Amino acid sequence: MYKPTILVTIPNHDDTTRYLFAWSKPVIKLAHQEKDKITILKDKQANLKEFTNTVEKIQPSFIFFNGHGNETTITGHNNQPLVDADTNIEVLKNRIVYALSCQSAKKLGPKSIKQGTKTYMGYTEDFIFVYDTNKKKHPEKDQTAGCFLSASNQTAISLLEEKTTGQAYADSQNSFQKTIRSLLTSESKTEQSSMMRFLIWDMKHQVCLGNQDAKI
Amino acid sequence: MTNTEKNLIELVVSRLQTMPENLAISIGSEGTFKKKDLIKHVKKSDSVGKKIVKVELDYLRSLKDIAQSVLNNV
Amino acid sequence: MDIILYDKLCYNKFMTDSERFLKIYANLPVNLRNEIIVVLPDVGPMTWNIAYLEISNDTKLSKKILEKLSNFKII
Repeated sequence: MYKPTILVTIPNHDDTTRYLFAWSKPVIKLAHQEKDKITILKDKQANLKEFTNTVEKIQPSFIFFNGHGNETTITGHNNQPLVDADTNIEVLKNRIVYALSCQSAKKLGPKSIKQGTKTYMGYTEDFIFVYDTNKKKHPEKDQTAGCFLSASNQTAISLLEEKTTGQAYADSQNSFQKTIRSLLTSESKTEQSSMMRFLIWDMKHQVCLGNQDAKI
Repeated sequence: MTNTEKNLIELVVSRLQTMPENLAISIGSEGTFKKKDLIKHVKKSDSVGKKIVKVELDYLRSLKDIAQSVLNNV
Repeated sequence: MDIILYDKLCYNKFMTDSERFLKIYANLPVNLRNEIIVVLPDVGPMTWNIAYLEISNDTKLSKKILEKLSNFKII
């Protein structure tokens, strides 16, 4: 039976990537449960050399990037570039990509689609999330950050559940919407309104480019 | 800086002052910021400050029909 | 003409700032009404609720509030 090959990059060198690292665990757990072939480049392994060699070796159908970035680049450990629009964009060809990485869907995403990437999901602006500094040492217990990261990661979860890229994107958008709706009621706490503007921002700037019917 | 821009900064700073002390914000590779830092950046009107003002203004303008747009997507 | 388009046109062209504010306020979730919406010199920050009190009573202050909200395109 066909099982997709998945590559996940999860650097862990600052507060932000530490949170992404913690909240990517449910995605990785699901991939293991589904017995998908999953390769994880974590911490220092999320560097250009390892990334390039791994892609060449395992030919992943789905790449889930966690990390920083900008309009043309996705980065890994210590913000080293892993994919850049002008140097190695062909590494994404024929793959489905989800980049939890600031702004990469603005230029890198559309260019990669033109160069043969099946689907590119990501953000056209900075991905911003709120977190509780009292829970920094245990980011997996921080439900404030969890509102953002679980909505975002719903994309990857839906893909692992064999949904199409279009459905995965819709599921993630619905997850953002659900959280926003719950914060709009009279029973939400005043401090939770701090989250609202950034949830709306992230939801608005999340995109799904290319083939909407692809599956991993 | 125009009067409108100054007024906007004043508004955003007032709104940020109501943010709980224990919360911080991650803005990608710009870094992570607590309330005090955000207010400093907004007053300086640097790249981080401008970003926060943009997010805030976008949000305020979306309040016109926030209930409707959320209900439409149920 | 489509009723939604007609409503939008009315909203944009024929409503006063005060009417627009009151319509938005009525549709604003309850927990957001305590958020600061405007800062006036000599008065300081004001929330949606306080702005509503001024505007619904057509006070002198309400003109200044509406001007700022309109400049920022919040209403």
